[in-house]
Amino acid sequence: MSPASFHLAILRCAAVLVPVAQRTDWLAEWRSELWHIRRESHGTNVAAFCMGAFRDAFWLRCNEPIGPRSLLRLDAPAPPAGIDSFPDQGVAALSSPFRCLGWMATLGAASLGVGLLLPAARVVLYSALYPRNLVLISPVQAGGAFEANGFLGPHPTVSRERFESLKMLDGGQFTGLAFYAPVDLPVETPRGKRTLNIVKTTPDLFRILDIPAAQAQAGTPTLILTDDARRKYFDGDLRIPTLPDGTWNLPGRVDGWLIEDDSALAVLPAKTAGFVTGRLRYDTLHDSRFQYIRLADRSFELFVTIPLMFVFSGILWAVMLAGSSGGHMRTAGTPGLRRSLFLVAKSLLVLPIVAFGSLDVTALSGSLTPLFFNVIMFGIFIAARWVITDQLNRCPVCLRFLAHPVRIGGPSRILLEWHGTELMCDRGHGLLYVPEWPALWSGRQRWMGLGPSWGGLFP
Amino acid sequence: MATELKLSHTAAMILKAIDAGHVYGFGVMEVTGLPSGTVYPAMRRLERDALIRSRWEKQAIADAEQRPPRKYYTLTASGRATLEASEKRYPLLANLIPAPVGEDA
Repeated sequence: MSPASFHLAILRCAAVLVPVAQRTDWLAEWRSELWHIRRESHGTNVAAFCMGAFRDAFWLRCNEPIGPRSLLRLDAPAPPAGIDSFPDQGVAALSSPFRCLGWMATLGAASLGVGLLLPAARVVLYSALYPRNLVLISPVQAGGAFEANGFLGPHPTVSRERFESLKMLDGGQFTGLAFYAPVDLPVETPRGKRTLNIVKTTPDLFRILDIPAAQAQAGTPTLILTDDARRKYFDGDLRIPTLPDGTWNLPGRVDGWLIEDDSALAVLPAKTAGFVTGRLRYDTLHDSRFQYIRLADRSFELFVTIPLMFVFSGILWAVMLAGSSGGHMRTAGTPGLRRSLFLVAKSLLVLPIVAFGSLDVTALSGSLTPLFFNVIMFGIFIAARWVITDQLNRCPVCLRFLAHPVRIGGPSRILLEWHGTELMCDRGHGLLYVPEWPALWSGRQRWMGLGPSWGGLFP
Repeated sequence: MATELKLSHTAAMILKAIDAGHVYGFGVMEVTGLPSGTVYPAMRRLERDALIRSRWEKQAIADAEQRPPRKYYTLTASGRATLEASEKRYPLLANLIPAPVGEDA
């Protein structure tokens, strides 16, 4: 491929990024200028011109009136006439510190919402709500009820007969034991006869689960439905007692609960399969006759705690970095406090985004535990980097993005002049100098505040 | 009014370069030292604000010189007024942008 064809190919690639309506015009201008540049200039300039086309295209894309990026900055103020718009302004919605925090909070809530919709993620999220000593129990011979990694299978495996023997073996190791058996119960509803998935149990179960509404119904056989089942089968009849959706997080999908006395349970066939749940009296159970699994899965908390340490390490690092930059990034009084608070708020808000986001991603992949830790670690590194970079790119006074980057000097003139990028606060609070090559006298980025006398230059 | 517009130094340099007779994108880049990724977007913004206008050269002229037609830029009346206001704020602007040598504006 000849250099001319190569340069033209670069321009064509850049043109792909230009909005369709303007593509022909821009490509024509680039091609025409390229012809002249090739005649009058060195090869380096030609390459720089061709690569600059990508920046042109990116600028155009950022300023395209229709598109997701422009939706982000619907109410962002337009830059003053004649002042160039740079790609940073494409995310102007994040420029305002409050809007940035708002977006982060929304994103965190959305990640949690998605997690609640995904069954695998929901199990993990709800498991954090269980008391620490709540366990699902079976005798060692039962097998099959427990799956690896704390995620429970949907099929009951403990017979009522076995539950009776478990109670005999208890020996005070549990503060409570309860049996529940999912059964199909035909029920007459306003829409005809329907078969509901009902859990037959005793009041003990609700005592163990700390559900007071159900305890009050103990004594006589009582049918309690889920909110969803009442809406679906009984047109939301308010006379039927319900438990709110989300109250029941034990294995087994249920439409309701039939709460009966122990005597009623005793007449169930001996082979009726169900689940046994209880609360450990002590933290652990050293009895080889039982196997149990804690319903409160703390692995999610553990996986979140470790990244939390990373985030706060990142905050510490960023604060130290800002504080040690020769005092130039320091601002007096309230702005310094605001800046620190903003950094802390961002770091706190990024955590649920990463935690719930990672959970969503891994839940979608189908295999939670082996992948989750890797995903969350990767996410937290990216997030911590973003938090720090975002902080360093903001004006320390108004906390908005710095704009209008200008490259100053050149690598070959590093001994005689400063070399790097200068950014400016749109509101005229000051300039940030970011050295490209650290030198003895310009090792770190410096902030130079502008006094009120510069106000005339800024709108 | 256009004269009330406040230009960045970059935009003022580009305006001055066009006024000085550097009417093509490449010419503006050469005289200002600004890269293409900065000059063209800035010129588009100036054009949007009606400070400059662009026109494609006639195909016949380009054909006669056996080259592709170029897009050239000229100042509008409001652009000229804005430039005059900018020159008061950036007095060294005129020294930074020399007129093109041996080229008709």
